[in-house]
Amino acid sequence: MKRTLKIVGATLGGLLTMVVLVVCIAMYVVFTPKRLTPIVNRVADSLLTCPHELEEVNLTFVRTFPNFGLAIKGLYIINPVDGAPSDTLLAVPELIVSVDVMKALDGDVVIRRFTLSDAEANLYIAADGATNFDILRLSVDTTETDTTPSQWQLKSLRWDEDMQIRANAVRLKDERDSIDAALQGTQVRLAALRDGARLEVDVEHVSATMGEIRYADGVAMHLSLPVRVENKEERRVRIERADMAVNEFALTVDGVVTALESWTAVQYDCDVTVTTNEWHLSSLMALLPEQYSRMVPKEIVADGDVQMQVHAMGRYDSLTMPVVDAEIWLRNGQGHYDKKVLPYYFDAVDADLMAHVDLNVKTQTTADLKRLYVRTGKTDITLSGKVTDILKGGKEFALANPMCLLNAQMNVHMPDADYWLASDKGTSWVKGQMKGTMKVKTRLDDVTAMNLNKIQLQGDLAIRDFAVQYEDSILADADHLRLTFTAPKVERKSMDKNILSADCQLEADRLHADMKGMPLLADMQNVRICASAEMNTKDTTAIPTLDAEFALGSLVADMDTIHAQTTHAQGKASLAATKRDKTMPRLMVNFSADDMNARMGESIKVNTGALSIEAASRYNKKADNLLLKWNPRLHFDLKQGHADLAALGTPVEVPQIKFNYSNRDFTIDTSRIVLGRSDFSLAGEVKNMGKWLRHQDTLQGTLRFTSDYTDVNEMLALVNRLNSATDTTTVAEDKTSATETTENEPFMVPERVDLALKTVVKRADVFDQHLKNLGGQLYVKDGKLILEEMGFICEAAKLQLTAMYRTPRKNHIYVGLDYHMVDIDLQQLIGMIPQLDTLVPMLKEFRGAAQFHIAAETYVNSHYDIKYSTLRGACSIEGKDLKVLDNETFSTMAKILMFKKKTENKIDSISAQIALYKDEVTVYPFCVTMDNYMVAVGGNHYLDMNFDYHASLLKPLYIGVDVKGNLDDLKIRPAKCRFAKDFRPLFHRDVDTHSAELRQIISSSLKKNVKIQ
Amino acid sequence: MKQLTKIVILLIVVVAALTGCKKKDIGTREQLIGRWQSGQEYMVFYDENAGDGYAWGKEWNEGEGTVESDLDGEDYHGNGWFRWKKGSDYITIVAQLSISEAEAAVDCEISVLTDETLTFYNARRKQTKTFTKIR
Repeated sequence: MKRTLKIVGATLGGLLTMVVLVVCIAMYVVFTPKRLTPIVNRVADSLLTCPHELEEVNLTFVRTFPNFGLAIKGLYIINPVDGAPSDTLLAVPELIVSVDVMKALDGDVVIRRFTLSDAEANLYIAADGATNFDILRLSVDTTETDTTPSQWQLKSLRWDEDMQIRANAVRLKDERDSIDAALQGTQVRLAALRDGARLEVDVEHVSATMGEIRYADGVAMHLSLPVRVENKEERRVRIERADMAVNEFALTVDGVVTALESWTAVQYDCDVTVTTNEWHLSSLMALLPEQYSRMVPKEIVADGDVQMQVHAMGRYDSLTMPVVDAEIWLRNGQGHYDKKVLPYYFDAVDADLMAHVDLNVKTQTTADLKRLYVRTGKTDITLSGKVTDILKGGKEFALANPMCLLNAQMNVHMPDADYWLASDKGTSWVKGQMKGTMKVKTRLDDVTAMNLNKIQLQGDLAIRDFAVQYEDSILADADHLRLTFTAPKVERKSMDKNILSADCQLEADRLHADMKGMPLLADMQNVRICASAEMNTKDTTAIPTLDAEFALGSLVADMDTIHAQTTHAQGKASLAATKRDKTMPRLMVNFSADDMNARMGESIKVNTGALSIEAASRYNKKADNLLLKWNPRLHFDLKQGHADLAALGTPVEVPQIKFNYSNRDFTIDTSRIVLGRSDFSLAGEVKNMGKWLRHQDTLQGTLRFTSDYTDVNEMLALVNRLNSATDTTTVAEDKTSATETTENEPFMVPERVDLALKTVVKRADVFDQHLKNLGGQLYVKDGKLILEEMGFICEAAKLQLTAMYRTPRKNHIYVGLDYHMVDIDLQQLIGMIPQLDTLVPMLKEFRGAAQFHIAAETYVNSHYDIKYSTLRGACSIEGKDLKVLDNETFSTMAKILMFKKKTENKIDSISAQIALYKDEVTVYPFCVTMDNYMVAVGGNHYLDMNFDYHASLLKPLYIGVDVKGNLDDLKIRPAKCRFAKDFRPLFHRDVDTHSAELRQIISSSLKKNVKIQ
Repeated sequence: MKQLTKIVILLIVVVAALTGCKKKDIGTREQLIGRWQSGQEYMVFYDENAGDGYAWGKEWNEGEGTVESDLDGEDYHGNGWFRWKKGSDYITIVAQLSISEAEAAVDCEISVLTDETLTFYNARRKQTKTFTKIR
């Protein structure tokens, strides 16, 4: 054994010695630098087309073990090209090449190892595409081979194992593409694998510019690219975990690439996945060239970690690009926009985005936002959605008009929105928590261009504990508020692309509003408002279309001293353009409530039962009158109304009012009012209001005023009370506007009006008179206001009254009355018209039924001062079988005057006529006969209250008495009998028939108009 | 005879007294017709027959803000229109009211009536008002 070991050991030692000897001989005896250097030079000459230098070539074995190798020192390749930064293309202090010596001797150079250390290179590409590194001559020069057949010739050159290049500095200047790059500390390792190779590149420092843009400035780069040939025939290679990195931004590439036609033809089939590590956005932004980084607005500050996984699959050639599916994640995102504009800091931004990029069918490119979570303050929003139509079709790579379909889950802490309410005019804030969803479907261009009509919005938002204050003036709050909206509307009236429309619905269990500026306080329960709107965004003159439907469980509102309350109020409201003119609004409002209560301080209290109002309006800007401008159509129906007016002191009951109004017809179907003890009802129709206002036609109408009972005394008391209340409250105003009051315009009866108010009052109390069956008509016609033949019956008489008010012009106004009383008791007549006692003093001494007729008229000026030159009047009092004085007084007087015993206490008749002309009242003489006595009385009375009466005793003797002066200064003087010739014609013969004629004119003319019997 | 003479003388005295009391005519109807003015007051007496021996007339007072055109279209009713008839020393004025067919009739005493002058005399007030004919 020992021997065997010795033999083996000796053999191995011998062999080793032999090898060492062979190596030494080869290195130092056979392949000395003197012999190798020319050989390598010849190889270099055959390979390179440009000048080059080799200092020395040594054979090495240790550094390339187990193969022999060449260590080339001082290799310089010189290729002067105009424009190149240096004539030296390559300067290599040492180059070690390991080759298969045996094959190399046959001319087949197989490079097993290639190590290039501390090299410096200057690469140049001229503008015409010529380079300074196109120096290899790979084809063998056969001519030279033929002439020197005995010498070594390069037959082939190939690489077999590792290649290492370590370059201190590499400079690339490409004038064709304006590239200038410098690499320092570059290491390139190309290692052969079993079925492929691994390329590793590390550059410590890269600086590169392209054109004016500096793409890299001292960045470190790393590439590790393992490539394995899976199928040589199919030229399919697999890349397994190829790592690339620029500074800390790394990515890994896995996949298969198949060269379809040849290894060199650019026609590949790819199935490659690229996965990045987490890229810090701020660092990435810092790495971007300034020209690109400054494209991001300075106001935007963003950070976060981005990671991507990109899968490219498909053919890559000059016409085709593989389809790319990329998944992008953003983690720990944060940032903000200019805080002066948008004072929100977004943090915890988390995004997950899928992108599908198909550059062959570009329109198929889509992005799928799986989730984007954004948080600011206590508000967070989660978005998801899809973006399609990202790229335009066609050859050019261009952004299309992406269609975005986004869903948002919102959880908004509403105080975060305070910023949007901020105002200089007061404190504004909002409170509450809003949760809900929103859907948006829009194209990107429509968002940037603010084409709101093309943005589809849908939302369902619920707000809890909502409260808002705006500028210290508006305060609103609600416990639960729900707002849903859809834009555009589901059912659009117009498909015009310029029409912006929306449906929205608001629900609140309780809504409280306080508008301090007005001031208005409103509290609503169970609020439900549905509204839809359409607006033409291009035509700002077009009236928007608004439809709203509302329902309130209850409403309590306070404004100043006004308090209003209603329950179960509901209605509709709409605003739209008229059919003829889109700039003119058409308004419709329907409102109904089960009941309504209103209070104005303690002075007015109103409550109603069911209330229904339907109103519509068409606006006409050309019209100058309010009614013509708005063309209102109104249907009003009120039941069980009740009002307490402190100024009246008597409640007003309105059992029902129902009327319809339009500028064509105003119809009062029913109205009934109970005021104190009185009741009224008004019904009828008024036509042509619009045409009348347009001066095209006459306003016509007939109204019927009926009352079962009217207490005029109570009415007058109420009016007085109202006036007193008004006077008390407006004393201050009166003082300041005294001048204005004196300038008050008189009431002018409208022209072209033909209105009639038919009055039927069954019972009425006027003063102490109980009237029955009051009937007559109040006309407004041809500029006249006429109370025509108002007839009625009272306990004392049958009465008829006609009155007229006419306004031919403002300073010339007519006032007249025609009043008749039949079967009037004289005492009651004086009670009703006390002035008669002054005009006809002896009337108060009579008892019995009489007729009283009076007509008077005058014109007044604008201040209602009488124009005496136009004052006219006539009055007639006639009675028969009148009692004179009471029986006791009569008996006393009968004794003094020595009446016959048969004389009764009565006179046959009395007939007095009175004329009013200008400022003078003429009482025509009238005569009274009793027993043996005859007395005639007549005279004049002036409106300055002076009078001049004369009484003539015509039987049994002639005595006259003048009564002159006034009541304060009465002068009674005996005088000649003035009226003897009027009433004692037998004695005087010359009867004064003229006076009788005038009396007859007055008496008969007055009775012509009497309709009562 | 002496007794008879006394009676005759007495009758003559009585008749003379009675005829002496009869009023004397002042002016003529024709003199009255025309347009009269007193300050701002105007009266117009037309000759147009208004029936029963009456004629139409009108009056207005511009001092009260009434002008002649205010009387247009009144159909002789109210507003200053009247029927007139001249008596011996008075003018009967009958104004029919607009409000009804009632008429206010008065006698206006005149003291002077010439072609140029018309003077109303109110014996009770002892006032006169003189108009001058303007046309």
